[in-house]
Amino acid sequence: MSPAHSRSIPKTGGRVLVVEDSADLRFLYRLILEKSGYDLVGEADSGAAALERASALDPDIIVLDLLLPDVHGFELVRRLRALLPDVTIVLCSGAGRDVAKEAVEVGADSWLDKAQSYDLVPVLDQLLAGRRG
Amino acid sequence: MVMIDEHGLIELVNRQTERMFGYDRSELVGSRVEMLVPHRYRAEHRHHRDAFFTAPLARPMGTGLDLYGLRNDGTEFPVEICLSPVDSGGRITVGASIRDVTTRKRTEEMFRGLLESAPDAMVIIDASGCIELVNHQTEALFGYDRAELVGQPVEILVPHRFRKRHMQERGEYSGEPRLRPMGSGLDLYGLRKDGTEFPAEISLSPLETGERTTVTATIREVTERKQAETMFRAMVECAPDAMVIADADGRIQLVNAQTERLFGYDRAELVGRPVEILVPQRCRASHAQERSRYITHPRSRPMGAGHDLYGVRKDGTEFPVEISLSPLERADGVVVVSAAIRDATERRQTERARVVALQREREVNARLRELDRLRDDFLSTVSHELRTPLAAIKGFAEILRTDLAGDPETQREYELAERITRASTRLDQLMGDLLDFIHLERGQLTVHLGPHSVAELVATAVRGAAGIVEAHQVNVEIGEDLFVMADPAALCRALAKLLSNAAKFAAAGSVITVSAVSEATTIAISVADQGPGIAPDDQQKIFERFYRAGPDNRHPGTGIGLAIVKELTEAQGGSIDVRSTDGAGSTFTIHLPRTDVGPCHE
Repeated sequence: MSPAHSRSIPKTGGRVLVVEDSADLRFLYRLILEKSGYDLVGEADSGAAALERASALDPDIIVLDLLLPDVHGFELVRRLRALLPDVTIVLCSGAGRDVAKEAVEVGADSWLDKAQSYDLVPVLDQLLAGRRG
Repeated sequence: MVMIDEHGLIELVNRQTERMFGYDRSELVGSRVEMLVPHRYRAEHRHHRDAFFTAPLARPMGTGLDLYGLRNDGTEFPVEICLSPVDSGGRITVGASIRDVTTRKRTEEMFRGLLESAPDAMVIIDASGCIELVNHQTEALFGYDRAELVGQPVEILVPHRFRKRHMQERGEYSGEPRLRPMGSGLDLYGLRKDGTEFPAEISLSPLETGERTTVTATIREVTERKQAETMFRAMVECAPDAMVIADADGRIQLVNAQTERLFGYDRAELVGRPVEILVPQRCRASHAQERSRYITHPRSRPMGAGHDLYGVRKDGTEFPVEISLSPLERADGVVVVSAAIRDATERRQTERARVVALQREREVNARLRELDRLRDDFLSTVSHELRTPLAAIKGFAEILRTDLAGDPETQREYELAERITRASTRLDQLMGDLLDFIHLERGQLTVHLGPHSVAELVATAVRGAAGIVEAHQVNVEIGEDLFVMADPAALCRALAKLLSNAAKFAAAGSVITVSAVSEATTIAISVADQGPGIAPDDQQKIFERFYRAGPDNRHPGTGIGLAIVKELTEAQGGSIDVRSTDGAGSTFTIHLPRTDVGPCHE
């Protein structure tokens, strides 16, 4: 087992809230983040839950699914942005590249192709490096 | 008054004679009368005198002759002489009354001069209809010498078929002569000596001289005008539109057959009537107003100049019309208005139909756009929904693969995890192709250009091809920091496709090299493989949609991968080319605008 998989990594990357209605993907994110420098502090399976969790947990990062059962991701980005102006939002979508631009326009910081979910950690690293830089 | 004896000697003169000839009575009495006659006529005069005394009868002298007197001072003057024999006891003397006609002669000459200088042919006829006098224009117009005409009945100048009527009318006219001006609505013709006819306008004016009444006819040839008029009428008749010509007061002067047909009137029913007869009752008042406004500022107005106009037929039915107006100034300065009228029923119906069709088309288009949007939404949703479980499959397989790597005991499980990863990546790419293709088809491929680090984009692209290129050795050779103007998502996708394309054709274990070099204004990013290469014939076609190189279906694919790469590249303002040697690998190179400014982070 490589050191990257060790649970002893200090969780300094940031506190992450995952908003995803697919339990499988929530589980995937959990596995991925477990082995990373990011701390998964909460999960939500709907827009309403996301707003409640976000205001309760005040996360650094929100990983957000575009299509949720109760609210469209763009709308949720707007509301979350209003709630937490400084939070880093990554919008995940399987709808193709064209969503990327709109995602950024409505206030997301980055966009992740769903098929590349496994690459969440490098995307977060790059994004935060950029923010810090 | 001069009295002479049979020898021609003057016996007696009166005071007027002394004054007229400038002699004293004593100088005249006893002298021969020839002293009062110009020398050139004297011999002849003596001869005439002798003849007169043989058969002395009172008569006016020199009917039809020009007589002259000779004054004492040698000057001549025209005279009229009347002779009357006086029998005084068997001895015959003759009384000659002499009148100086200088003034009358001068007047006569002026009259003739006037006659000759008139622009028209002039014929003077006497009460019996015989020609007394003609001018030069008459000779020229009819082709006769004046000697051939004088004394002839005026009917010599009238075509045979009109002669009888002409004689009758002449009789009636001489009974009640009056001035009749030119062109009083009659169709008159003249007959030339050579038998040809010509249309003429004739004005008549009675002339009373003493007890005699003559008639002066002024004759003008109007062939040209008649021809012009005939042509004009023919032109009006053959016009495709109904033509109505009205005078300044709006009275119809001329209509053509189309007008009769369109409005259902005979032309006789229209000529002389106000044009408003052709306008629906409700519009008549305003039409008359408009008409008087138009006549003060007449200008050409083309068809259908934004007016909703209607005509009314004799049977009272209305129909839409298009009207073009144009003022015509006649030679006499009077302005008439010519209106061309076209039945616009069909055109307005067509227009209405077109508006309806257009509206329907708009609705259909809107519906199609709505359907398009629904399909877009559906595809996005389906794509998203499909990719969610796919992402889970791929992600878990990756985790397994990572966890199992390097442990010989779980080698088999590792390989299975790797196969799951590869298959899911492949599936994901196919879905990406499908989405891209739909966007390309609709021209909805949009890019958002910005400066980006080539190294970062290449790294992302290589990561995107994970699982696909695992069996190959991927070398990235990017020396310095290079920046391109690109859409990161589009470029990564293009590069990932080139990578998976290379992996598909080149043998496992071979090297795939991704390199970037700076060119003059561009950055060239190349993906080179060690595969079989591409035949020269195929090299241009591989970028076409659905084109698949090679003779068989050994390599599965949709045939749109490279077409998408090309379009993604071109959408960013770049270009793509391929260099390949059969059997020695292929190199695909994307050229994109270079920038020296790095990406800016917040």
